[in-house]
Amino acid sequence: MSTQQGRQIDLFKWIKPFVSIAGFFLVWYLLVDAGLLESFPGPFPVAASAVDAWADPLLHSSIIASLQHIYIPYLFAVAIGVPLGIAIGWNQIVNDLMFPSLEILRPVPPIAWLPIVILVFPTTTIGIMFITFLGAFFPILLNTIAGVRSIEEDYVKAVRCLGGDRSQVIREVVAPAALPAIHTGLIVGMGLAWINLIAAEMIADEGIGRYVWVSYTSSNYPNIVFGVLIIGALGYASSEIVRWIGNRRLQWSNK
Amino acid sequence: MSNKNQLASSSSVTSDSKKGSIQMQDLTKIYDPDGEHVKALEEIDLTIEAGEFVSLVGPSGCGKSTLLNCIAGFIEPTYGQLYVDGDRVDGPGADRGVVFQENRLLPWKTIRENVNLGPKMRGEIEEDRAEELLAQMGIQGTGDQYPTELSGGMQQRAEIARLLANDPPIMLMDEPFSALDALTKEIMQELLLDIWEEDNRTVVFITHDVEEAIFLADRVLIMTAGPGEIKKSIDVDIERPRDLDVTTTPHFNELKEEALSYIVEEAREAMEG
Repeated sequence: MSTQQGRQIDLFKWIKPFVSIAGFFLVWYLLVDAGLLESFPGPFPVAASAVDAWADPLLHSSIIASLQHIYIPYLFAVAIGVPLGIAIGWNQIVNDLMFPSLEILRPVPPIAWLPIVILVFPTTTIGIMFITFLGAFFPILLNTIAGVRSIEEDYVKAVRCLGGDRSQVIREVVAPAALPAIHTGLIVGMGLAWINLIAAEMIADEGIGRYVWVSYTSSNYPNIVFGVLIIGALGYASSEIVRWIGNRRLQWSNK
Repeated sequence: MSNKNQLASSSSVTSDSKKGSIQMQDLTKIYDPDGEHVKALEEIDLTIEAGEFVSLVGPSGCGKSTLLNCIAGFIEPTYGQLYVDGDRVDGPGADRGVVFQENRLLPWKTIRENVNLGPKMRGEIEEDRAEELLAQMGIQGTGDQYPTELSGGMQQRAEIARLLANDPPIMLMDEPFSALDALTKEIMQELLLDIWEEDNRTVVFITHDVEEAIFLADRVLIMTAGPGEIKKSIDVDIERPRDLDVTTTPHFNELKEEALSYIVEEAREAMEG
């Protein structure tokens, strides 16, 4: 392959996400223009109101509040989900003791938690964080468990006969071998944390979900759409950050 | 887990204190899937001297790997005794290094990190030791690469380097060269003999290649299938150091025919029975 051709392919690869997003706006515009979405605002009214909204301090504080609602519980979900997943995946006794009760909690939808967290937690902010925590926690936990269970026994044997004890087997084999699956869990968990966040922020005093809800009650339709786009963009960016960090740590698995 | 490694490193002073002898008495392994007894090993009595190179040959399913896994400590015998240097084997340990058929370098570590793994886990990495071993194995300069970037033969060299970094008195090798092409295989056999002649570790080498078994070993043990027993022990009285030229001598052929006759007889019995 010539370098020229290589550069063209690079450029094409770089440009594709923009083509995808431009196509999204185009389809949106055409649907509105054809009158298929009733009173739903098109891209241009939304852009016009976005210019005003962008300068609004309420939007800024909403974004900052939502990022806190996401990232603080997310870090807790990683710190608890990964070690617990390794323990459950590696040790049958821990699995038998923990897994059934976790499986009862897992299918409960975020909305169903709302009355409970209002009753249990002292502030709504902590309640919201608990719900986003659950969104991130279960994908991280389940992927970690699956990653640990798929480890080839021979790697464990290899480290055992080099003199490795139980904790060294976990550090040198189990954790790194499960890392690609854990990474998948981290990406999925970030996405679900955002989904749960928006549900949870219906009861919040602040946050981007709240911003959309308030825009709805004041019939400011362009701002609803703008808020939803911001949620989408922040969620996408958050998942990309997790993906990027993971890919840097997982170079060996791409070779 | 026993820690005979420290003993091993100071043991080369006199031959009396040499480490790496293996003793088996009535060693039996019964697998019990669905309540159906399958005897993989039946009452094996065997002594392997420290520093001896022993090959185990036999048809597939004869329990060779089970025997090796028992010595390695991966499998617990159903009954019978297994001792290494007089100590009962109780789980795997750094005194018994294993080279697997499919190499088991950790793919998330570089070659150097793999070679240093044993010393690292004991907290005693020696600077430059990894480079020395890689050079000895003929793959110097690969330390920063990941295992999947190397060819099969080079990976197997790296795996042996990782084992040597641990300096175990016993090397257990389970068909280590069977996945390699013929030429690479011959090179690896000579390399293995070079290493072995240097520090005379005990080697238990599993293969289904009779020629390979005779070329490498002091003693070839022929195993029978179902239940696994040692049918015959053939002493290989070919002078060392050996190179591949000995495989064309009449004496080598006599040994090979003797070994093959037992194996063929065994295979025939197995088919008829």
